[in-house]
Parts: sequence; structure tokens; C-alpha cells
Amino acid sequence: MRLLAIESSGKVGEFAVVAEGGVLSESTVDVAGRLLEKGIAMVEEVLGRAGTSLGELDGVAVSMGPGSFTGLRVGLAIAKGICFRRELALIGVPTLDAIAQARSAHTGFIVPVMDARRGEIYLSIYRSDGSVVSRLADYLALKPDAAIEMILGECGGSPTVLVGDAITPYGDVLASGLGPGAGCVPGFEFAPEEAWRVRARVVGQIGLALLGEGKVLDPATAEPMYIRPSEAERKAGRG
Amino acid sequence: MIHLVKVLSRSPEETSELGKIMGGILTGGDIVALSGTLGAGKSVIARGILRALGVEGDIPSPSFVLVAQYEGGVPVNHIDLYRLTSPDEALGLGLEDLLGGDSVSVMEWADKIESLLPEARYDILLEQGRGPDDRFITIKSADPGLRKRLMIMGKLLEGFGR
Ligand SMILES: Nc1ncnc2c1ncn2[C@@H]1O[C@H](COP(=O)(O)OP(=O)(O)OP(=O)(O)O)[C@@H](O)[C@H]1O
Ligand SMILES: [Mg+2]
Repeated sequence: MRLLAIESSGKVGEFAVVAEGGVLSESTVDVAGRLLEKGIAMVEEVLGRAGTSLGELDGVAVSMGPGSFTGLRVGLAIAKGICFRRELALIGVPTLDAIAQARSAHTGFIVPVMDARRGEIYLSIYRSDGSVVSRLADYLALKPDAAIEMILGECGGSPTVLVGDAITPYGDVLASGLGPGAGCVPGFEFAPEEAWRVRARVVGQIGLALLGEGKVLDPATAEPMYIRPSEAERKAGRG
Repeated sequence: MIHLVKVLSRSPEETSELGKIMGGILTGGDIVALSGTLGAGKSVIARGILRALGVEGDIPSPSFVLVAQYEGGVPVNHIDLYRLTSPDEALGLGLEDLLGGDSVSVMEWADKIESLLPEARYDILLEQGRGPDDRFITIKSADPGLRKRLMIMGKLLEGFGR
């Protein structure tokens, strides 16, 4: 099976063509609000470099969020446009799953943390046995304090790795909340910065697995996963 | 050069889907002017556009209130001018302010006030086709920048012309 994969949840847009054997091609661009304009050329480019065409694809896997509203919206529109009236499966990959999957070699807990702006962190909690990753919590948007509380509550007994761009604004807060003496047994670490970004190839790999299980989306109802702040928080934010 | 997107939709679902793809190419301040007779599918495509812009929950027809405002991922005005009796009345509604802001505006029965609309807008015309569920949907714009985006949408739908 062969998929086009689209990742556009952040500042960088990435497109890849993947098959069971691995990545056939991949292209990355700093989109700066021009994902739609650049996207088409990038799709053509990765298809060309992979020596394939839309007609030979089995589907399109797209990063569903959370993340940038505009990026996710445009990425899904590109995916839906390509799937429209073609025999192509549309596959949605939760963005936090893709960040966690890229750290699957870590035995223990994996906590992807994305900067949600407005003082919050998007996160979930995963566990890996060194190869298979499984999710243990919902996809959430939490203030740093609540995120720390949740991580302390879930992650005990195995090493915990935090990965994602929320480490830039909240690294210090997270380190003091989770550090020695705070109870995160047996300790935690931050993944190196190169690992924070979501990769289209991982979106594609997860997409292949989901397609194999028949987990495809209905294009008529598929929407990005925005994870909004609660109503109370929204009001407080405006007040 | 493709200057317009033209699709024969064969079901309400397809029309809604096109609306969602259209919603993906819009940015704040854009105006989408929908025209077509009663039951042509203006509300169907409008709801698709609004959904893609992050509007959740019910989207009732605004024909009695003329304007419904939503906070999606961007602010969105859903406007229905069916009950409008004259273009002057539209000015009284503060339509110019609505269209001048950062909100995306999606307007049904826009042909009623065509002379008041800025040229930088998308026009979507829905026409009955041969079968009961067939609708010809034409999307175009007189604005070069917007036309570029439509060209991209056309390319996506046509599979890069291959
Ligand atoms: N291909 C199609 N696209 C859109 N709608 C369709 C299609 N085929 C059938 N329909 C039906 O046509 C109707 C369109 O209704 P809709 O309310 O969208 O029309 P409208 O143009 O908004 O009309 P009005 O001017 O009364 O507001 C719906 O009942 C829908 O199910
Ligand atoms: Mg209507």
C-alpha cells in the first residue's frame, strides 16, 4: 500500500509518500501562511520523486491536530480535495500520536507536549514497550500546573520522556514540577529538540497501520481535532 | 489558465464536501457570494464552508435574522438576503461594516446586492442539473489573488490535470 502523508499542524508543512517498506519521498517547507500555494507543488514533487502518481495511491493520511487552526484546516482541505471522487481512503492521524510514535524506542512513558498558546499545553500520555506504543489518556489542553499533576498521576515506575515544542515556553515550569523530589519516579527527561517536530513520514506510517485496520474517515464528516479551551476558560480569557 | 472551478454535484453530500474544500482555501476577510434559485443548495454548501472554518453545533438558516455570527477558528458571518426587499435595506443593516472586517462572510442570495459587493470576492452559482439531485456548481472570482487560490482548488479536484 502507498499513501501520501500530510503534516501541517505547525509552522512547517511536510509531505511524504510512504509504503510498507518505508519512506519513498519527503519534502518540508516553512509555510509562513502559504501552505495552500506551496502545498500543490509539494504534492507534485513528492509524488514525482517517489515515481508514483495519484492514481497509484491507496489513500491520503493527514495529521488531524491539535495544532495550528489554519494549518490543520488547509491540510485537511488539500487531503479532501485530492480524495474527492477518487478511490482514495482518507485517514486521520492524531498529531500527538505521531509525536509519541516517533519515540517508540523509549521504554516507559512518552508524553508529547505541544504549545497550545493561550497559556496551555496540548498533551496525552503513552506507554511503549520499546516498539509498540499505546495511548493511556485523552487528548487534552491543560495549563502547565494541571499538566504536571496529570503526568505525576499517570507516570510512575518507568522512565518518562517529554517531547514537543511546549518545552520551549514551559520547560522550566515542567522541570521544577516533575524534577527530583517531585515524585516522578524514576525520573524524567526532555527529548532533544530535533525530535519535537511532527514528521509526515510518521503520520504516513501510522496511516498505513490504520488503513490496514480499515480505520478510514468519512470525508463528509471529518474535521480537524482542534481541542478547544473550556467555555469558562474562553470567557475568562476574554474578560 | 483555469479561471473557475466547475463541478457537477450529484448529491447534497458532494455539495457539502465541496463546501468544506472551499472552506479550506478561505482566509479572514474573505467574502463568498452564493447565488441560485430556491432549493439550489446554497445553505448546503454554506454549512460545509462554515464547518471547515471550525463552526460547531447547529447552523440554522439565518433567513429571518439575515445575519448569524459564529466564532469558528475565525469569526464567520452567515448572511441570508432572501427577505431583503431592496439593496438600501442592506446598507441599513450595517452590511458594509460586516464585510469590511476580519470575518469570513458567506452570503446566500448575494445577487440581490451584487452592485454593493466588493470585487474581491468569490462567486458561487448553483444551478439545477438534469437529474433531481444534480447541481452545477461554478466558483469564480474577478480578483487575481483569489483566482489563484481557485486555480489551486481546481488543480486539487482535477488531480493536477493528469
Ligand atoms: N446535489 C445537491 N446539492 C445540494 N443540495 C441538493 C442536491 N441534491 C439535492 N439537494 C437538496 O436540495 C435542497 C437544497 O436546500 P438548500 O436549503 O441548501 O437550498 P437553498 O439554495 O439554500 O434554498 P433557499 O433559497 O430556500 O435558502 C436540500 O433539500 C438538499 O437535500
Ligand atoms: Mg438557504
